[in-house]
Amino acid sequence: MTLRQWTRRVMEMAAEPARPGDLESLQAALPAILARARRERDAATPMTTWDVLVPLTRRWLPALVAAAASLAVLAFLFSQPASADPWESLLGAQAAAEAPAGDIVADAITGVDAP
Amino acid sequence: MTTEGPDREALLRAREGDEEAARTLLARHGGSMMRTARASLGRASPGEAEDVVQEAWVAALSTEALPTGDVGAWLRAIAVRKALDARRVHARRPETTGLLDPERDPGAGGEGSRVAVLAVREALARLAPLDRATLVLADLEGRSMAEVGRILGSTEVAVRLRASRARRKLRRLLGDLPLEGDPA
Repeated sequence: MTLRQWTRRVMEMAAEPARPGDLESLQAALPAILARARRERDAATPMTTWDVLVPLTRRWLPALVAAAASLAVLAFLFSQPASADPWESLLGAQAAAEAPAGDIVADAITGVDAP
Repeated sequence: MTTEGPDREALLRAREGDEEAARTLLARHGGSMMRTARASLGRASPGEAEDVVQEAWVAALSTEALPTGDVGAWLRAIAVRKALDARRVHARRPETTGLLDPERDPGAGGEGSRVAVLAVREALARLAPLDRATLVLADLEGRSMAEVGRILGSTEVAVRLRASRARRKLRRLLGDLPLEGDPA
């Protein structure tokens, strides 16, 4: 006997026999069951576009807002004009100004022709 | 003789409000639905299985879906799902009645077999609701793992694993309960 067969046997053993009153009480409740089923069927109207869109929007709204904000920040950053004096040029000019006279590298930066 | 065709007809008529058709269907399948609901609930307070079966009937009569095969099996599957829903709703509520409730019939037989039945019910009640539902559908109802997966909204592989784990747990819980033909 496999474990599955054993389980089936055990479960059949534990299953309760139908009680005499079971069906009577269900039959007595039948008019109420039918009425409730009818109400639920009537309440289930066909879905409109809004019924689909509203939950979707609710679900994705935070992600959409975050994405829009990120795009706006990126657009702002890219819209800024590049600096006329990038930091490399500023550092170069400072090094050239502090260099001793005759430094050919500093002269090249400052545009002084070599002798 | 198969009742599939007449059952389908009765189901359709009952959905249209035909009380006589609903009564016929109920007489044919109400008892087995109650049995399945009780097995799925494990510990059930008085009237809980009946509530579950009533909910299952409301669902069966209000849905547009139609069973593709055995109507009784379809109704019992709905009862299992409703029992699971009931267990989820009352997950934190302490269960005041148990399997040793004298109201619950332990069946015929000698004292030994009655004790065994109660022990099995107690062990089944200790399983997780989803594990119990899986065993009810797969082992008691004899459904395929694919069907159980569809009913419980899970994959076939997950159901197979769950069933295997639940069977081992049940075996462990029952220990050396004497049953004829026990697996070694």
